[in-house]
Amino acid sequence: MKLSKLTIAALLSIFTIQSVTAQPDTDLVKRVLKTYKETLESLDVTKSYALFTEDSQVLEQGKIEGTYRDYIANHIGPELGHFTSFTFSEYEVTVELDLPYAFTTESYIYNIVLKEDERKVERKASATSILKKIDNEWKIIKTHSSSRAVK
Amino acid sequence: MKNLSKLNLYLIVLFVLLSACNTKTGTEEPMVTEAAPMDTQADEVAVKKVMGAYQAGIEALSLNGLSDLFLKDSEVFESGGVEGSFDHYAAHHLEPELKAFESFNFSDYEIKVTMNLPYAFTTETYNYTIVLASDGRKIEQKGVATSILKKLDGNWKILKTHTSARAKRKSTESDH
Repeated sequence: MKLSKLTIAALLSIFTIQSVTAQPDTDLVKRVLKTYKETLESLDVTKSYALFTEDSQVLEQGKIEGTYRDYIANHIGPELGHFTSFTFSEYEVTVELDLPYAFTTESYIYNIVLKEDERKVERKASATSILKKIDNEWKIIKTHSSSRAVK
Repeated sequence: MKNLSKLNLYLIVLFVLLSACNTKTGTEEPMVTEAAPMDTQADEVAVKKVMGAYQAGIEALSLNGLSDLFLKDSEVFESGGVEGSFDHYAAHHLEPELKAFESFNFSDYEIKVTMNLPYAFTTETYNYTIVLASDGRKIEQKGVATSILKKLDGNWKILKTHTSARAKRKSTESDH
């Protein structure tokens, strides 16, 4: 018996499309975190709200910053305006999935150049985050970052 | 011709079903479950007890029993550093550090617990005062800790904890 060529082509197409579009959740979680880092490096966080839930919680270096919107309005937004550049290096991330949650750990070095006097600040940092899959999208619900001087 | 059409139809249905299974990746039934209010309250109390026990151990400058509060594959992070498991952190960081203190006291302590069985997500805020054994010098810091606990076999244990702190002063200076 011969299969019609059209049927074979259709079946192969369906299989290929499904394989390509079913991206692992781990990669999707890493992409959210990567996008956030890139946003910081661009020195413009105004279009990054969608990476976080509205009731997210941000903590940094011993302080609760509030939601991500609070953090942008009162801390990181104004702070980025004082930087000539903000770059990440030696970046590593691990993701532990237990749907609908992802628990992540990031470690990295960040370098800041200040506009005022071109002074360079280099810090070694880690960030632990919890992301949640909501309506098939991964969003950050909590993130805590801390840093220390590079030895 | 009829048999060919039936076979083609069968294969189409088979591949559609296989495709449906493939799209379920990442949309599996979540492991997290809803708990009844009374259970949630009891669990919250239990979680707070674990965190309280850890704090009490630090204040006692003693590691006795602290390892039991953590899962063996726990992860500890402190002020930008990745400390490894609690046992590793205890051996290489905490124990030597506690020996250098005359006292360690927490104050203004608050904890919030968000339950998502089998997990609990906690946020703690506190001040801490350390007196150094070498010269009696006092160090005062304002700290936060975020932890993830997991309930296994009816017991809550710390899976991951991240602490950070800043000097107790007005926050007009940049932290960078």
